[in-house]
Amino acid sequence: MTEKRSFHLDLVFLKKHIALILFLVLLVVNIFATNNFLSWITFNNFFKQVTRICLVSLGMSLVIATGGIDISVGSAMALGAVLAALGIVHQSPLLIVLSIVLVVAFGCLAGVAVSKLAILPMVVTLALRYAMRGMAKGISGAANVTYTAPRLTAFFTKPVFGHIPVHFFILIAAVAIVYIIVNKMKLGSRIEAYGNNPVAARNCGINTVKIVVFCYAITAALSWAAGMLEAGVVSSAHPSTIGTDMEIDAIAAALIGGTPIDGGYPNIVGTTCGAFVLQLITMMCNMNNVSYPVTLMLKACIILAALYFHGIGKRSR
Amino acid sequence: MNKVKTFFSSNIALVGLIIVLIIGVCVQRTFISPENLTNLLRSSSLMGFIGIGMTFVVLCGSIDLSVASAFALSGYLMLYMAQYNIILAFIIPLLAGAVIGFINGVLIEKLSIPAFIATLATQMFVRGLVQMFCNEVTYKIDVIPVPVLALGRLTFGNLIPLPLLLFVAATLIVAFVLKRRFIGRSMYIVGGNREAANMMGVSVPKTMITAHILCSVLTCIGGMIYTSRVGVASPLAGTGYEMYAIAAVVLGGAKLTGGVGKVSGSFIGTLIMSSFSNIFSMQNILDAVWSDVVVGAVLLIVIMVQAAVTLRSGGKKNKAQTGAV
Repeated sequence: MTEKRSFHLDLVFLKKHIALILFLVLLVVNIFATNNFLSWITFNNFFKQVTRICLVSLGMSLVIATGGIDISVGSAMALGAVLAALGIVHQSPLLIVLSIVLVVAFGCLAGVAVSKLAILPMVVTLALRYAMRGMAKGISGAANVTYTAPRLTAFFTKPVFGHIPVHFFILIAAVAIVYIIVNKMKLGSRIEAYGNNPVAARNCGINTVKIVVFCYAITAALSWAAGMLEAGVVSSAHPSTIGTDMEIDAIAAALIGGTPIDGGYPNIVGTTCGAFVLQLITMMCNMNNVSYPVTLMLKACIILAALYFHGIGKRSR
Repeated sequence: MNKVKTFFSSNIALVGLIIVLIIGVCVQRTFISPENLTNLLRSSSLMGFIGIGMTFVVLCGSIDLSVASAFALSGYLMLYMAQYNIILAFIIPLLAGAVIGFINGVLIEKLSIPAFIATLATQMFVRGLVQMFCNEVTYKIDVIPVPVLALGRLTFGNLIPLPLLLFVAATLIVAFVLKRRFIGRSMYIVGGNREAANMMGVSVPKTMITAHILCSVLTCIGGMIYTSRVGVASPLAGTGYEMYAIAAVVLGGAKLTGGVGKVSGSFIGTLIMSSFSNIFSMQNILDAVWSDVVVGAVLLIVIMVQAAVTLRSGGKKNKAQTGAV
C-alpha cells in the first residue's frame, strides 16, 4: 500500500515537473556527449534563438490557460517585423508605433470574437493567421525588407558584459513579469478560474471578456516582440519566412510545460523549460551533425513522450 | 418562407459559393468558360480529398494536422513503388495513410494526448521521414508507368478530369457513410457528447480511430493524384494544406467542437477556397501578394455571420457552454 502511494506521488511529481526534468536531462547529456557544449558561444546562440520561442510561448500558455489556442502568432511576428522594418527604412517612427498597435489590435479582435461572439479560438486565429501573413506580404510586396541601422543592429548582436546576449535579459524580464502576473496578482487567479470553469467564473462576477481579451492581446504583444528580435538580429524582415511554424513550437512548449489544453493553471516555469527543451534538441542535433529530418523526428518523439506523462492522470480517472 | 429560411441558415456555404461565383463572373467573363471551370474543379479535387477526410475528424471533435505530411509521403511512396509493381504503387500509399491515421487515433484515444499536439507531432515525424527518404531533394523516377500518370492527368472528353470524378465519388461515398452507416452516425454522437456516446454503447476509441484512419487514407488519395499530376515527389509537398483544409471545412459550416457538419459543406467549402485563388489569379485590380488577406477577411466575415446566426437562433445554450457574455 505504502509502496503504491509513493509510486503515485512520484508520478505526480513527474507530471508537474516533466519539462524541468527533461531540460536538465538534456543539459547533462549534452555537457557530456557534445563537444564544445560548455562555451560562451553556445550560451550566446542558445539564448539568441530560444528567446523568441519563449516569448511567444509565454503568451500562448496564457491563451491555452483560458481554454483557447492562438495559431496566428507566427503571422503576428511577420506583420510586426515587416511594418517596423519599413518604418526604419522610411525613417518614420509612426510606422513602428503602428506595427505594435496593429498587431495588438488584431489580438484584441481575436479576444473579442472568442469571448463575445463565442467563435472557436482556433477558427478566429486561423482567419487572422491568413489575414496578418497576407498583410505582411502585401505591404512589402512579398519581398525581403532590409534596413541599415548600425546602432540598433549592434544592440541586438553585441553581447553585454562581453559574453551575455541582450536576449538573455529580455527573456528573464518577460518570464518574471508574466510569472508575477500569473502567480502574485489577482488577474492571474482570475485567468485560472476562467480556465477551470468559464461559467462559474462569470457567475462569480469576473469580467470574463476582459480576461480573454487581455490574454490574446498580451500574446500578440509578445509575438510582436519576438518578431522584432528575429528581424533585429539579421537587420531584415522577410514576410514569408519570419515566424513560420512558430505556433507549433509555442504550443508544444506550453503543453510540455504542463498548461492543460482545456484550460486551467498556466505553468510559466514549465513553459519556459518547455521552450528550452525544444531549442536544446535543435542545438544538440546541429552540434552533433544530425540531419534536419532526424531532428524533426526526434523532436516529435520527445514532445509525445512529455505529453504522455501529462496524460497519465486523465487515463486513470 | 420558414422553410426557405431554415434551408439557407443550414446551407450558408451554398450562399457563399453563389456569391463567390457571381463575383467571379463580374471580375472576369472567362471565369465561366468550360476550360476555366475544368481547371478550377481539377485543382479543387486535390485539396478536396483532404477537406472531406478532415470532415470525419472534425465531426468527432478532433483535428488532424498530420495531413500535410501524409500528403507528401503518399506521393513519394507511389512514385517509389511504381518502379517495381504497379498494383503496389496504389496500395502501399493507402496502407501508409491507414497506419498514420491509426497512430493518430491511438495517441489521442489510448494515450490521451490532446489531438492538436498529437497530430502535430505525427506531422513533424512523417515530414522528417519523407525528407529522409527523398534525401531532402525532389524525388524523380525515369519512367512513370501510364496508370500512375493517368490518375492525375486523364481527362474524359477534354472536360471532365478523372480527379474530379474520383472527388465526387468520394464525396458521395462519405455522405452515404455519414448518413446511413453505423460508424458515420456514431461519429456525430461521439462529437456531440462523448459521455452520452459511451452510455449508448458506442465505442468512442473505435469511432475516433476509424475517423482518423479514413481522414489519412483520403488525404493519401489526394497526395497520389497531386504527385501524378506534377510527376515528381517533393519532400515539402502539402505544406500548409492542413490549415487550408480546416478553413474549407469551417467555411462548409462544420463546428470544430464536433457533432455538427456535413460533407456537402466541406465539398462546397473547398470549391469556395479554390474559386478564390482562381479568381484572384485572373483579376488585375489587386496585386497577387494580397491574396492571403482576402482569404483571411472572407473567413472572418463568414464565421462572424455564422456566429450571428447561431447566437440568434437558440444560441443561449451555446453561450452557456462557452461562458461567453
